[in-house]
Amino acid sequence: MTGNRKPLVVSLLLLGAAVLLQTTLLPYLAIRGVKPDLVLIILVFVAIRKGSMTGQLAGFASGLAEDFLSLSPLGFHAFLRICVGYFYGLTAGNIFVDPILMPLVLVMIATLFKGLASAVLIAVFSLPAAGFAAFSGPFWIELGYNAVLAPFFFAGLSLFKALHPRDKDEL
Amino acid sequence: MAGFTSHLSKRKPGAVFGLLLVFCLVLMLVSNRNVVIKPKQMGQSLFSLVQMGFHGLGSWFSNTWNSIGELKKLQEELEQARIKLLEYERASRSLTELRRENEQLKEQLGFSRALPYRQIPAQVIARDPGNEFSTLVLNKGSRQGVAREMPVIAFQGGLQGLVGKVVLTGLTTATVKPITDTSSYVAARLQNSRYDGLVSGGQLGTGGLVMRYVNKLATNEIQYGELVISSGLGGLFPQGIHIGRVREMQAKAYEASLTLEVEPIVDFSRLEYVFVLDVGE
Repeated sequence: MTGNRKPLVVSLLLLGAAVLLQTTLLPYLAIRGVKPDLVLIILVFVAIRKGSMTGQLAGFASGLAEDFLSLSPLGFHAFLRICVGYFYGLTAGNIFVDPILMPLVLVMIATLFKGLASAVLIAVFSLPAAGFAAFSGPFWIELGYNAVLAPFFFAGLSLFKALHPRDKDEL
Repeated sequence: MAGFTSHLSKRKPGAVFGLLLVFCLVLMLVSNRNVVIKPKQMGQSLFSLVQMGFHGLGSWFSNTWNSIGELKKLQEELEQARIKLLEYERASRSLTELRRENEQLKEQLGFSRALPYRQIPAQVIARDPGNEFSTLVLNKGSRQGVAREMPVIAFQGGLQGLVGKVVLTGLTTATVKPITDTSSYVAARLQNSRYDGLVSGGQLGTGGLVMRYVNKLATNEIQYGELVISSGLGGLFPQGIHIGRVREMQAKAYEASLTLEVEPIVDFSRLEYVFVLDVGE
């Protein structure tokens, strides 16, 4: 496997595992029925390390997988993940990521963006989302849950050699 | 192929971003009109295989962990069990008699069939990956006779409660939209006062249901804790399946009908086994 494809393949495998975990085991760890968004945390990490292209392709694939497993229409999660992957990828190589504060802030911003974009998509396409209310109680639980988990996931994902940051001109 | 991502990265990340976004928007437009149900079914069938594997792996770890803790208990319980064994042997003789008598009584009373429909037992193996939508994935699909629109029930606390309806079927799995979903509607009736209404899901996190369009005349007749059952109107859900109990009543002066908050009979957080009903036959 060449060095160019390896980060994408590793990212897809990690995101695929996260999608499956979210549907099978994470409901047991839900707080008041709200699960953390592992896919989002991993995607933020991948995008800020490997750039826009890897970020958006990984986001597209993982989002589509979520759409297959969800009641959401095809494209809903894919749309959200592509945006996160692309925009976070633009910052690759330009920001310093410390072990705790930056993962927390980056994932919180990503969750806020997801909440806002979800609300827009649900409103524009009149999607039948179950009790979804923009920035309501469950959303803040998810935000906090994601933020708390982010530093741990970033630390764990740093161990993957394929996801180490590359030179700026390669991003 | 070797430099595929590198080539794209250097030349057109913005263009690819735009293309992917447009592709997703088109997918949503088409998918929301239920035109591409086949690709979704195919995707579900494919991913459900891996889902079942993860579920099995999780169950195995959980069972192994529990087994270790239980080994110690088992030793203590073994001694107690030996003592009780003699007692049970005596009891079993009378139990056999009671069972026989019970069977005869059931036949006489016509209770041998609780439900006049074919039932397909299934296990909940997964739930929706996100928090915006709520679905349950069952380990039975079209191969076992599960089809779209089939009602799903569960037995909890001695009552049969309505869980939802099948909205998507793969070969070996089926996706269920629970009655707690806001887009799910069930024609319902209050069991004692006999007033009709329409039950749908409440807001996420509350886990409750809302019964709307109940006649205002019912204000003085409805009691807190009264059972809400399916009325059978519309033909989708069979009549008489328990939905929940009245938790709160809202009677606004400017509204023509009552709105009731209903506590579901089924506890969805600990739902493991369900029955898919084939009401078509």
